[in-house]
Amino acid sequence: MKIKDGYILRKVAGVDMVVPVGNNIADFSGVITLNESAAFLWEQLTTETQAEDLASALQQRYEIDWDLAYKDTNEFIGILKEAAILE
Amino acid sequence: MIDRIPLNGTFELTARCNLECKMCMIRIDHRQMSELGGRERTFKEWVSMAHEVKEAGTLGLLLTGGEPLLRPDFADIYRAIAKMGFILTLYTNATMITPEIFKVLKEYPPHRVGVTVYGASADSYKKVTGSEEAYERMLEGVQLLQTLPSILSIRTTIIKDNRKDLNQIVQWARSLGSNVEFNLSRIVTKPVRGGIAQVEESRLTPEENAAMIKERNMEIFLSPLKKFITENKFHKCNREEVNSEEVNNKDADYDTSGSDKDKLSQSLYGCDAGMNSYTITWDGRLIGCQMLEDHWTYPFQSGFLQAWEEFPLHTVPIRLPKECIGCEISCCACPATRMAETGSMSGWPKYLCREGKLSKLMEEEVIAELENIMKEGLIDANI
Repeated sequence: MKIKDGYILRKVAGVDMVVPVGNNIADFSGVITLNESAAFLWEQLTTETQAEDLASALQQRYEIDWDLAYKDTNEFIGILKEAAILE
Repeated sequence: MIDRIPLNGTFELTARCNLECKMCMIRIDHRQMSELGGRERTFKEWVSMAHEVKEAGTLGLLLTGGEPLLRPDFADIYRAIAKMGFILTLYTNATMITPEIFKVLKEYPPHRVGVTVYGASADSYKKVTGSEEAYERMLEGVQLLQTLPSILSIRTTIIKDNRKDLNQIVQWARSLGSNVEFNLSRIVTKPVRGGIAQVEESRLTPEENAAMIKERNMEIFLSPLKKFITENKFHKCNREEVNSEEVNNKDADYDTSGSDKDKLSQSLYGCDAGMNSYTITWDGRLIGCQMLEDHWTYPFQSGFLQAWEEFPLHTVPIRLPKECIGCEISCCACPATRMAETGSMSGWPKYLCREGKLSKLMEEEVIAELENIMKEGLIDANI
């Protein structure tokens, strides 16, 4: 899975923000603000990846245990799927 | 001074226009351009500037003119900027949407598109803009823009020549759908930055303008309210006594120590201009807002960030004209409109002052009418 084209991750006034461009504005108007770990996951998701790889990257980055990393990763993936941002 | 963040930007791609509206604040022609001594910035320059403002934190970006679609390279500029991740707004008169331009708008729809509409007939367009054909072209353009997922905003400015069209324009805008916004310019000011339109001859008098605003308020608020109340009579009820102690306690929670004053001292002009927003003019100067050029910096020469940081260093304190000191009427005067009307940010804008006072009277009339409507709508609970 990966983030669909046309969602641009940017830093605005120190805040990580995703802005939809192109015809994505039909599905999602407005912006998405991300916290630091969500922005990290977003960046991983700009190329094809799997949930396990994401959780592993999150675990390494923040030195947290696997269960928490896996739970948080799946929660984030769920939100993105619900918003139809993943492909 | 509080932090300044260049959140909202305006790129004025050109000050030229294919129409010659009598009330335009901005429009200049080639002759005026050479007299002003500037040149329009190139495709490469605008795209490079967009990268810079993105890095600096600009989120909302307005592409406007003049008429931006007049530029032969508009589609190229637009495509390059639209990919970057701004909340993008496009202002246009919708009369120049070529297949090439529509293709790029379809590929990268702006988040919002504002279309200026100048009348409800070819005849009105002829009188206001100098072009009869522009009316049909605008209708066709709006039809195309409606197919985009963008928020469509119909914007109109009323002068003597199209005053009779206002209701028709409103009806037409409504007919486009409930998701289409309608905006009527509150006031028409004199041109700025060398604009060549003869506004004074064509704009409404303060009396006419205030009456128009009242008419709109009547239509927006009072007519629907009257209809509702006529259909649904209300019983009178006893008002609950307000507990004064509670009110006092609530007041005590507020820290009102000079908050308005602080806001003014924490801005450059009493608004967002130069604090969280900016305009880059067709000839490449950074100014506070599109209407105001009391001073400027040069982002294409120094780089955007330096131009943004240097901007407040040139700001001079603004003194209110003596006529405005102590006046509590909410009028349309601000440093920019004062500058447009009088040539000075501290000048007394007679036209705006008169219009503001008349609007205040109209507002009181509207409130009185509202109270009457409410009275008519009440029936005694004992009956």
